[in-house]
Amino acid sequence: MELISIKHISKSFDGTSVLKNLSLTIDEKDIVLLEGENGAGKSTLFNMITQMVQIDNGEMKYKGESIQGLSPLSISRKGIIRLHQDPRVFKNLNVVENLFCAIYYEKDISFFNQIFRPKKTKQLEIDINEKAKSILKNFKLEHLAEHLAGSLSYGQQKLIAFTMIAMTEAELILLDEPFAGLNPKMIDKLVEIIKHLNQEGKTFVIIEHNIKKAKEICSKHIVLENGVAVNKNMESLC
Amino acid sequence: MEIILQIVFNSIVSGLVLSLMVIGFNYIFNVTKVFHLAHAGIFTLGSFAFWKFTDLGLHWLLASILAMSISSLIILLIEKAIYLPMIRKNTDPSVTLIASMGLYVIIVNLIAMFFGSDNKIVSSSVNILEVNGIIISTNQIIQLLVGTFVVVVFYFGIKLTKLDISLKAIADNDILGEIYGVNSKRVRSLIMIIGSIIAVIAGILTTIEIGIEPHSGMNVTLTAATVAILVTRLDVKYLILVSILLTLFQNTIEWFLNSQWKEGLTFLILLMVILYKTEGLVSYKLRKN
Amino acid sequence: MNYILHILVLLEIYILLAISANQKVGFSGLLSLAQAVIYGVGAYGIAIFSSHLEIGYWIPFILAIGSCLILGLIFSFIAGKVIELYFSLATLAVQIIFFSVIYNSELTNGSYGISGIASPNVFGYEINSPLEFSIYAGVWIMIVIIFLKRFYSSPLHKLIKATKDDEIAVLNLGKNPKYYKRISILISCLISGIAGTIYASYASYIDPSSFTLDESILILSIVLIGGSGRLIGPIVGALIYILLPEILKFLNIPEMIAANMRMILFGLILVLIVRFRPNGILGKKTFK
Repeated sequence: MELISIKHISKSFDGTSVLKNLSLTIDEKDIVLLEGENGAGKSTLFNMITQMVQIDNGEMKYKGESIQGLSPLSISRKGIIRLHQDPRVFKNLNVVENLFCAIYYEKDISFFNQIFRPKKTKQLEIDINEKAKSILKNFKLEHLAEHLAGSLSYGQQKLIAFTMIAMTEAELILLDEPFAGLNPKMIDKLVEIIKHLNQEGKTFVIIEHNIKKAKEICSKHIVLENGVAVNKNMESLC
Repeated sequence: MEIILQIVFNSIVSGLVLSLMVIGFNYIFNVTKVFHLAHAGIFTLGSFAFWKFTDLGLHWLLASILAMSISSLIILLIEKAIYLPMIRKNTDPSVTLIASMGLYVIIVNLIAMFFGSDNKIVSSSVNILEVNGIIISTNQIIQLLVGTFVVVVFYFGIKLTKLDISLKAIADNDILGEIYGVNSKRVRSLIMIIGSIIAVIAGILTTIEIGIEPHSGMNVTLTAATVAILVTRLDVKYLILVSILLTLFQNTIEWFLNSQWKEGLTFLILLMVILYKTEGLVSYKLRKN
Repeated sequence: MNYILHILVLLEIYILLAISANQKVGFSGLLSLAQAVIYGVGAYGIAIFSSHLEIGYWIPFILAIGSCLILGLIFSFIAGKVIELYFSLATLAVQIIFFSVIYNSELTNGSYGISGIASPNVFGYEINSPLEFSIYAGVWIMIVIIFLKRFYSSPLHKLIKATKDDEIAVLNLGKNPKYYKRISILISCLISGIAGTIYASYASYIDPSSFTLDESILILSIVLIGGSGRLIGPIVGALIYILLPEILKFLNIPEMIAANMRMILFGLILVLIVRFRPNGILGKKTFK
C-alpha cells in the first residue's frame, strides 16, 4: 500500500531552486535510503513532509490524503515522526522518564484522573514504566535507565532518541543521519532495532552517508540529484 | 485648527526627544542583543547627575559633560561585567532582559535612597513665544535644536567613521562580522556608550522641562522599546518618524480623551506589536532561510 | 505576639506566591514579569465582587479565582504565540497596563484603593484576627501542597518539564507543547489568585501600590533566589523576602530607606544569579 505519494514537487529558497519536479512513492514497510550530495534537497524533503517548510508546487499525500498545509503537530499525530541529526532528548529527565514522555498519550488518562485518582494513574504509570524498561532491556540499554539524559554521551543520546521515536505510535519514521557519530557497535544495535520495528510494520526513510551500512537494511534506494529523484527502485543496489 | 497645529508641533518636539531614546535603545538591542531596559536607569542616572551638579552651582555645560561621563563609565562597567559575559555564554535574551531589569532596579533605588523620590527640576526662566498661533516655549526650542543636532551628528558620525557598517555587520551576525575584521567587543562597547550619552541628553532635555523622578525613566524607555520593536531596522530616519507618530498618537489621545489612559494605551500598542509583529512569533515551521 | 502572627500571615501569602511563580518559571521556563498582576486580580477580584454582590464570601471568591484563570488563558495565548524574550516583554506590558487600569479606573477606586474587604466565612465562623488568618492561610498552603505533590508526580508534569527542555521534541512525539504550557500557567494563576484573596481579606484594604512592576520583579527574584526546585526553593525564597525587612528594621534603618534597600539587595542578587548561573533558570543548556 502506498504510504507517501509525492508528485511534481518543487521548492526554491530565495530564488535558488532546490527541488524541481520531484516525484516518488514510498510504500508501507519500505526502508528507503535517500541519498544525494549535500544541498541536493534531502533534508528539505524531510522538512516538507513534516510541514516545517511549505511546498511551492506539487502534491503530497499520506495514505491517500493530502497533507499540505497541515501543522507540524498534526503531522506527528498522523504518525509521521522525524529523528533529527542531533539527538533531541529531554536533558533534565532521566532515560525512563524520556521514554515515558514518548509512550504516554493524553488520551490514555485525563487531567482530573491524574490528580484525583492516584490509583488509576499509578497503574498507568507502572504499565508505561514497565514497557519502557522492557524496551531498554530488549535493546540492552537498561543500565542507562536512571541516568539523566543530558549526562549521556552523544551516541547514547542518539540511541535513546531513537528508542523514544520507536515507542510512539508512528508509522512513518524519517531518520536524518542516524548512524553519524555512533561507533560500529552502536550502529549494529540501531540496525537491529530498525529491522525489528520494520517487521512490526513501521516504514522508514533514511538519509545516510554511511551507504554501506544503510544498504544492509534498505529495500529501496532513491537518489536526489539536481532536485529530482533518480534511480528509483534499484533493487540491485540493495 | 490651531489646536491641531499645536498638538502636531508639540509632538514633533517631544517625538524628537523620544527618538533620542529610541535610537539608543534600538541600536543597542540590535547590535548587542540585549533588551537593555537598564537604559531607563541610565536616563535617570544622567538626569539626576545633571540636576545635582547644577544644584551644586556648576555651569550647565560642565554638568552635562560630567553627567554623560559618569553614565558612560557605568554603562561600560555594566557591559563588561554583566552583558558581554552573558552573551558569550549564549544566554537566552529573556534572561539578559531579567539582568537588565535587575540593574535598573539597583540604579533607580540607589538614586531614590540618596536623593529621595520627589520630582527634581532644574529651574530656568521659561519664555513663551507665539508663532502663527502656536505657542512655543524656550525649552521646546532647546529640545528642538539639541535634538536635531544630536540626531544629525549621530547619523553622519556613524556614516563617516564607517561605524554604521560595523554595527550592521555585528547586528546581523557577530561571529561572521569578526571574521571580516570587525572587533565586536569594541563595537558593542562603543554603541553602548554612544547610546547612553544620547539617553543622558534626552534625560537632561526632559529634566529642564518637566523635571525628573526615579521612576520617570521606565515609561520613556518602554515607549522607546515599542518604537524599536515596530521598526527593528537600524534606520535613523524611520526611527525618528515613528517616534514622532507615536507621540502624536499619544498626545491626540491625551487631548481628546483622557490623559490617564495615555500610558495604558501606549503599552497596549506595545503588547499588540509584540503579539503580531512577526519577529518574535513562535512558529514550529522553519523560517524562510 | 500579634506582630509575629502578622509576619507569619505575610510569609504564608508569599510562600503561595513563590510556589505559583515557581510553577511558571521553574517548571515551564516562562519568565513572567506579571506575577503581581495575577496576585492583584485575585485581590481586587475578591474586593470588588464581594462588595458588589451580597452573597457571602465564597461566590465572590470563586469569581475572583475565575478571573485569574481567564487571565491565565490570556497568558497561555501569549506563551503559545511568541518566543521567550517577547513573552517576558508581553508580560511586562501586561503588568504596566494592569497598573494603569487599577490606578485610573473608577471600579477599583483608583489610587484611593478599596477598603472594608470582606473576611472569609468558614461554616459561619468569620476569620478576623491574625491568628485566625494565619491558620486559614496555613490550611490553604496545605491544600495547595497536597495538590501539588500529586501534580508533580503525574505524567502530565513530566511532559511539562519536557516542554521546558525541548518543545520541538515534544511536538515531534505527537504532543502539543502549548497545552503543557497552558496547564502550568493555569495552575500558577490559581495559586496566585488564592494568595491574592487571602491578602485582600487579611489587610481588608488594598490599593494599587501593592501590585506594581517592582512587586512582580520581587516575586520573580524570590523564585530565582530560592532556587527553582520543587517546594523547598520557593519556601526559602519567601522566608528571605519576609525576614529581610525585619532584619533591616532591627538594625534601626528607617522604613523608606529599608524599602529601597530591599529592592537593591534583591536586584543585586537577581543580577548575580542570572549572571553567574543563567542556565539554571531556563534549564535549556544545563548540559552543554
